[in-house]
Amino acid sequence: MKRAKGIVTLLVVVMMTSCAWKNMTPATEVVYEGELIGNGTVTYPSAEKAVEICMMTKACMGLSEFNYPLPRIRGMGGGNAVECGGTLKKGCYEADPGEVRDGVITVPEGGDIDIIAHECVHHWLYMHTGDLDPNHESEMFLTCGGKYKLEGESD
Amino acid sequence: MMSIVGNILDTKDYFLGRTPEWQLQFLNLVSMFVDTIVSTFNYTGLFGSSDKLDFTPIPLSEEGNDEKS
Repeated sequence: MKRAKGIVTLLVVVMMTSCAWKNMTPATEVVYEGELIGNGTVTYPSAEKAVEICMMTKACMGLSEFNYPLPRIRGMGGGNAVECGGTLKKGCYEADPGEVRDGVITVPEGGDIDIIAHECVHHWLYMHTGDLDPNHESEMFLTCGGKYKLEGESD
Repeated sequence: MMSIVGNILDTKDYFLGRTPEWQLQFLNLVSMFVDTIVSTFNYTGLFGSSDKLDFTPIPLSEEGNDEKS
């Protein structure tokens, strides 16, 4: 019985400390901004993996045959979350409805790279339909969005 | 894992004379306990193996231009 109490106490402590780790702090400093693969003169260590994830998301969504451009990316330092529509989230996608459809993924440096898949679902949906689906109604978030599905922690 | 626990309980029950219902209840309890631990580790990301986003600038090589000159 004592052993069971010890295990339960340990679990509670782990849960409580994990909650402290999950506090979101805003990342406010732009550390990289440009193309997903690099901006001509400078690239970054996660570029190749980010492109791979985004292209896999596109293939998963059945859009490989379409020649849509990759999203741009903005890496933010100084925190573990980015401001998105007035709230802090692990990632954010902003559509750019200019002459040519485009979009920017904003993510915090040090964040989980899997968030790229979720944001790329927004991007490819926007490219294909003109609607980035901010409410995550498309089933593509479940099937192609990686582990960040509909948690509401990203846009 | 559950089959291993089941076999251990079968052996134990043979000697203690416990009923299959007790064993089923105990297996459910073990299953819930394992689920709780796995969920906790997933939630905390203690053993997360996924890559982290790294935006440390890497200047692109200009070796191609050097070769031409």
